[in-house]
Amino acid sequence: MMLDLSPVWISLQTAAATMAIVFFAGILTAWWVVSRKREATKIIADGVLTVPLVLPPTVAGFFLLYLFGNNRILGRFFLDNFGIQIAFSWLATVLAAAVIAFPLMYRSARGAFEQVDVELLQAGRTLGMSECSIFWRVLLPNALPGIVSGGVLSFARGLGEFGATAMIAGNIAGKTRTLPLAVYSSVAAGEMDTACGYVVIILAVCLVMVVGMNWYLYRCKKQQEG
Amino acid sequence: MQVEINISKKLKEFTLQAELVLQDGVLGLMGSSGSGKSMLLKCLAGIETPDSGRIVLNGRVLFDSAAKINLPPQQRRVGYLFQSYALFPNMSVAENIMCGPRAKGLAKEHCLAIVTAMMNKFQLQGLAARYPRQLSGGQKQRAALARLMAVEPEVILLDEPFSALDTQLKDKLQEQLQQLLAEYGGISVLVSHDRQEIERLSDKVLFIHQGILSEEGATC
Repeated sequence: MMLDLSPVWISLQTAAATMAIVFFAGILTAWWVVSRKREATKIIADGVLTVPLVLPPTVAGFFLLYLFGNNRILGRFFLDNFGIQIAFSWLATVLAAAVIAFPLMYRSARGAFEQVDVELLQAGRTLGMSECSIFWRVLLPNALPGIVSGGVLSFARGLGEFGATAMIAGNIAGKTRTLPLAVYSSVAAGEMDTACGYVVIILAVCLVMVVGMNWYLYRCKKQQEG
Repeated sequence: MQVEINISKKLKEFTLQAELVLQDGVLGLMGSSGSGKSMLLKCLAGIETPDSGRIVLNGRVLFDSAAKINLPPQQRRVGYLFQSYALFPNMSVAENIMCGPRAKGLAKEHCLAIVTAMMNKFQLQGLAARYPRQLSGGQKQRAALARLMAVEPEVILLDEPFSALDTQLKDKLQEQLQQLLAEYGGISVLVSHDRQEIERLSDKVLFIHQGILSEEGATC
C-alpha cells in the first residue's frame, strides 16, 4: 500500500503559514492588550480574543463561512478585487487554522509579557529608551521562552485543525485535505491501515515538537539559573 | 539646581501629600515600608502619576495637573536606582550601560567612550561581558549606578539601595556611594527605613509617615 502523502505536505504548509501569521499577530495583540491602562478594556479585549479557543471549531468555521463564503461580504470582496477565492482553497485551511490557533499564541505571549518584571520596563523609560526600543530590546527578549512555546503550540494546533477547516476548506483530496481530514476520510471509507499511517505521522510530528519545546524551555531555565 | 515638588496622590490607606523644595545635596527620606516614600520617588521619575500638583525641575515643568502637563519618564532626566537594581538580564554589563547613551541617538564611538568611562569610574573593569546573574550584589549596584549616570540625570533617586545586600557589604558600599554622591554634587534623594544609613549618607533628613512629610520623625 502506498500512502498518499499529499495530506502531509498540505498540513505542514498550512501549519507553517499559520504559525508565521499567528506568531506576529499574537505578539502584537498581546503587547497592545498588556499596555492598556483600563482594566475593563483588558478584560473585554481578552474575552473577544480568546473566544475562538473555547468555541467549538465548527462554530468558528460557520462564522468564517458566513464571512468568507464565495457570495458573502468578505469572500466577494477578495474575489472581485483580487481574484482570490478563499473558501474551499488552500488559503481557507490557513484561515481556519489561524483563527483557531491565534488565541493560543496570544495567550502565551500575554502571559510571557506579564511575567517580565515591570521595573525593567520602568528602568528603560527612566533611561530614556523609547517604548518601541523597550519592546524590542527588553520586553521581547525577556519574554522569549513563553513566546517560543506559544509559536510551537500554534504550529501544532495548525497541524491538528479539523472542525473549522472542514467547514470552510472542505475535504478536497490533494487540495484542502489536511492530515486530520485524511484520518477522518480513511476511517469513513473503512481504510483503517491508511488512517493508521496518517495517525503515526501526526503523532510523531506533534511529539517531536512538544518534546523539543520542553527541552528548549529547560535549557532557558538552566541558563537563567547558571 | 532645584526641584520644587507639591503633589498629592490618594493611595489605598492614606493620601500622599508632599510639598518640598530640593536643592543640591543628598536628602534622606526616612520612613517605614508602606509610608509612601517609594511612591514619592516614582511620582518624581514619572513612573506614577500624582492626582494633582506640580513638579518643576530647574525651571522645567515635569508635571502640572492644572496645565495638564505630564512629561513621560523618558523626557524627565531623572535617574532612578531601583531597589532590585532592575538590570536587564538579557544584556551584558556594557550593553546595560550603553542603553541610555544609545537612546539619546549618540554616535556609536561616543556611546562606547561613555561606557568605558563609566566602567572605569564604577570599578567595573573586566566585567563588561558579564551578565547581571553573574555579578555579586555590590557589582550589580555599581553596574546599575553606572547605567544611571551614563545618561547624566539632573536628579538621582535611590530607592532602598542597600536592602538587597549582605550586612558585611553594606559598610563598604555606603562609603563608595557617599563618595559618588559628593562627587556628583547635584540633587539626590535617598529613601530608606534604616536610620544609620540615612544619617551617614544624607545632608538633610526628612521623615515620612502615612504620606505626610515632617522634619521630626517618630522613632522607627
